[in-house]
Amino acid sequence: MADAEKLICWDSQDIFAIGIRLKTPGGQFHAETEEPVELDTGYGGDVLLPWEMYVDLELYGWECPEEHWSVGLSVSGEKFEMPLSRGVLVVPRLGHEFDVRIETFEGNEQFLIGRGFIRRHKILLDGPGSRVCFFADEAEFQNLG
Amino acid sequence: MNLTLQIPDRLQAEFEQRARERYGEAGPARALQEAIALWLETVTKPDDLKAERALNNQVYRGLKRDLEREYQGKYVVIAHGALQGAGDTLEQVAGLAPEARHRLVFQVGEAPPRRRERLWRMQRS
Repeated sequence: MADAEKLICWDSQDIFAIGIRLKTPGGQFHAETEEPVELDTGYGGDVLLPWEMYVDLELYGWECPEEHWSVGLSVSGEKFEMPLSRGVLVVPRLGHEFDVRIETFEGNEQFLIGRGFIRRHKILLDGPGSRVCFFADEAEFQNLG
Repeated sequence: MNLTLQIPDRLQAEFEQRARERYGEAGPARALQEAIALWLETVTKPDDLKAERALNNQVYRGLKRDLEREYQGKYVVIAHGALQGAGDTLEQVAGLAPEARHRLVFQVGEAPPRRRERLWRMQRS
């Protein structure tokens, strides 16, 4: 178990979430203050953004070529493309920011942090303690993975 | 053009009142014209974006080999259906074609892993 003093934690009564602000490469933030965003190991990318937020932030001005986009598969078997852009995930309590890849798809309302980001960091899901903690030492580097 | 519309009385009354307050007696006609133009702009923009996106990706596919040969590792911007420039860092190219609705901004040679993402919980409208 790591030294507790190195942990930056958020209360987590239900979902496991960390407080972040998302920033476009152009410097536009999605929110004035940190917003708890769910950690979801069922999603493989870095960050999944609600479609409207993707549009509002004009992230289509920072897109990667379509040949790099992943394909989404709905419960009914429908396939759909997932536009891929880039941005910066800011963790205000850490005082650090991380380059991330951002995905969305039309109609999506979910805001998630996925395995792509989680696998680059040490994050503690403390169920009995009702908290999520980020190991601060692991925040010293930026990584686009 | 003459237009006959049937809308709820309350909506019509409020619309006419506010339009006259703003533009005078001819206000309703002017406000309706503005509303139609605004609606057209709203429904047209996504299509424009998709068209620009398709064009930029088409150009990317055509340029891909040249880019890999001449700009490997560099950041490039494709917008308005053309290569806008290249640089060593994202910051160097971030300001290229800022007026474009859609841009491809990427590092030549980078290949994010493509996935098949099972999004069971998500509903697509």
